[in-house]
Amino acid sequence: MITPLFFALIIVASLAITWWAARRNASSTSHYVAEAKISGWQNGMAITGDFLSAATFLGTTGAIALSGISGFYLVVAVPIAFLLLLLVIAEPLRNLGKFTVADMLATRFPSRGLRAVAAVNTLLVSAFFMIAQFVGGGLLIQLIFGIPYALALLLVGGLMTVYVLFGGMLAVTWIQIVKTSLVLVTAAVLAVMVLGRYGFDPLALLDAAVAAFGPKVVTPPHPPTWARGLDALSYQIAVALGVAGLPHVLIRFLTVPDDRAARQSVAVAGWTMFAFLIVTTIIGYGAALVVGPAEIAKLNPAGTLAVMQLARALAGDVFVAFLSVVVFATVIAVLAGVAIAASGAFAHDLYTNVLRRGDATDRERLVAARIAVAVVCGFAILLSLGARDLNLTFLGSLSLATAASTNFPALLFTVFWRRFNVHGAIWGMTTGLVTSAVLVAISPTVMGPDAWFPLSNPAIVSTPLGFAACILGTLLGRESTAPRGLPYDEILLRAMIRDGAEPRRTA
Amino acid sequence: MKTLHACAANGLSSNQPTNMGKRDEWPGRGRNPLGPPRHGLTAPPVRETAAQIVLAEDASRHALDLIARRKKTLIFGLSTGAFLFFLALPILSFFTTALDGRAVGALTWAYVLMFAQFAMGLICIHFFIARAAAFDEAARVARAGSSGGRRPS
Repeated sequence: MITPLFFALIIVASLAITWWAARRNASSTSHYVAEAKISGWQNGMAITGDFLSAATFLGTTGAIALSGISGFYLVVAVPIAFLLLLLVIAEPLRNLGKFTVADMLATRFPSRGLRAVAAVNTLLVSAFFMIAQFVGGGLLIQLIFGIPYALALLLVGGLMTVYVLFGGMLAVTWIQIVKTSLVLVTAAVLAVMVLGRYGFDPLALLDAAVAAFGPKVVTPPHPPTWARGLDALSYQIAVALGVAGLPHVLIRFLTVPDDRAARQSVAVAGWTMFAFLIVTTIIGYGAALVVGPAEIAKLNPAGTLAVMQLARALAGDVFVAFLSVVVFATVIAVLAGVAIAASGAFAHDLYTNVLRRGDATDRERLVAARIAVAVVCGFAILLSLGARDLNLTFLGSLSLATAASTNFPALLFTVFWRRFNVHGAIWGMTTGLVTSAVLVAISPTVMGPDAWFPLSNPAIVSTPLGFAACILGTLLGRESTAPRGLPYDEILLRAMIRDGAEPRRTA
Repeated sequence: MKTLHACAANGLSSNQPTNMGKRDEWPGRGRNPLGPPRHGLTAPPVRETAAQIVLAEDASRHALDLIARRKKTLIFGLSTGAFLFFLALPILSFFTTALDGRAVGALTWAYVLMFAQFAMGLICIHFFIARAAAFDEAARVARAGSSGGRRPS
C-alpha cells in the first residue's frame, strides 16, 4: 500500500518540475542548455546524478557485498575521471561550445563532415549507454515492483519522454538534483544504521567483515592470467578517460553561465561522489554481514538487490518501498540526461547544421529538437523491448570505451595541439569508433571462450589507436582543402580564458 | 619571455601600478600567476594617443596569451601527474602483491591507496580552482590595460 503512495508522490513531483520547466522552455537555447542559467552547485549535483545510475548505486554495493574490496574497483577511477573532466574538458567546452560536443569542434574546424561524424558518434555512444540502462532499469523495476518487463519499460520510457520533450534541460537538471539528493540521503541513512551496529567505527566494520569472511574481502583482486589483468586495467582506463567523453556528461558544462561555475560543478560533483562512495562501501560490507553473501546471491547472482535486502533487514518495508521509488527515479533521471544529449546530436548537429547548413529559425530548431526527442526515445524503447533476453553487459563497456577512444582525443587535441586539423579529428573519431565496436564484437563477451580478442573491454587498445589516428590524420591530411575556423591562438585563448581577448561580460 | 613580462606590465592602464609584476605588489587576489618581473624592464607610461592605445592593446593581448600558455602548462602537468598516480593503483593491485599487506587494523594498503586517489583528486580540483581564479584575475587586470584608458576621439 505504501509503495504506490511513494510512487505516486515521486511521479507527481517530477511532473510538477516538468510543468514548471515547460513554461520556461520556449527556445532552442532553453531546450538544450537551460539558457546556461544553471548554477555551479546545481550542475554539480546533476553531474553526480549522471554518475549515480541504478547500476552504480545497486551494482557497486552488491559487488562489494559479494566480493569485498574487488567491488570497489568498479568505481576507483572516478576521482581521476572527475579531475580530467575539470582540467581538460570543463572550461574549454564551456567557453567554446554552444549546444553539443560538435559545436566545440566546429569552432576550430567548421566542417560539415566532422560535425556529421561527431553527431553519429554521439548518437552511437548515447544509444549504447541508453539501451544498457533501459534494459537493466526495466528488469530491475520488474524485479522490484513485480510488474511485467514491457510495462516497466513503457512506464520509464513514457515518463522520460514527457520530461525531456516538454521540460527540456531545465526539467532534466532539476529531476537529477532531486534524485541525487534522494539517493544520497537514503544511502546515508542506511550507512548510519549499519555503522550503529559497530559503534560508528568503520574500522570495526572492516574487522568484523574480515573475521566473518576472511582476508580476501580486503585484499585486492589478482587476476589469474595476464589477459584478465589487462582486461581489468582496460576497464579502469575506459572509466578514467571515457567519462570525459560521454556526451550527456559533456553537455552539462554548457548549462552553466561561465567557466567559474563549470569549475565549481566539478568540485561539487567530486565531493558528493566521494561521500557517496564511502557510504557505498559501508553499505556493501553491512549487507554482507547483516544479510549474508549466500542470501544476496540467491536473490540475484550479481548482488543487485543487496541494498534492498539490507534495507528490509534494518529498516523494514516502508524504507524498502521508499528505496524502490528512489531506484525508479534514478533509472528515469539518468535516461533523460542521455536522451537530451542524443536528441541534440540528431536535431542540432545532423538536421540544423548538416542538412540545413545552419539556415533555420529558432522556432524550427525547437520543433526539430522536440521531434528528435520523440524519435530517440521511441527507438530506444523499441530496441529495449526486443533486447530483454540478450546479454547486454558489453554495451556499458562499449559506451565508455568508445567515448574514451573518440571524443576524448578529439577534444583534447582541438584545444591543446596547434597542428591538429580537421582530418586528424575525423580520422581519430572514426578509428576510435570502429576499433571499439570491432574489438567488442570479437571479444569474449560476445563470442564466448573462443573469442579472437581476449579482452572484454577494448579501451586499452582502442584509445591509443584513437590518439594515433588523430596524429596520423593530422600529419597526412591536406590542411588547405579543409574549411578554417578560428586560428589556434584564438582557440587556446578562448578555451583557457573566458571571452578570450574581449572585455569580460558580467556573469 | 622578456617581451611577455613587459607586455603583462604594459597591459595595465595608467592608473594601475606599473610594477605589478612583483609578487608582493600583485593587485589581484592570490599569487601573481605571471611570476616575478624581469629586472631592467620598465613599462612605458601610457598616454591617450591612438598609437599608444594600440600599443597597450597589443601588450594586453600578449599578456592574455601568456596567461593562456601558463594555464595550459599547468593543466598538462597536473593531468599527467595525476594520471600516472592513478595508474599505479590498478597496476600494483592486479599485477603485484605490494598492496596486500595491512596498514591499520584490517585496512590494507590497497584501501589506503584508493582513498589517497580520492584525496589526490579533491586536492588537485581545489588547487586548480584556486590557480584558475588567479589566472582569471590576471586576465582581468590585463584587459583593464587595453580598455581602461580613454579612447581617442
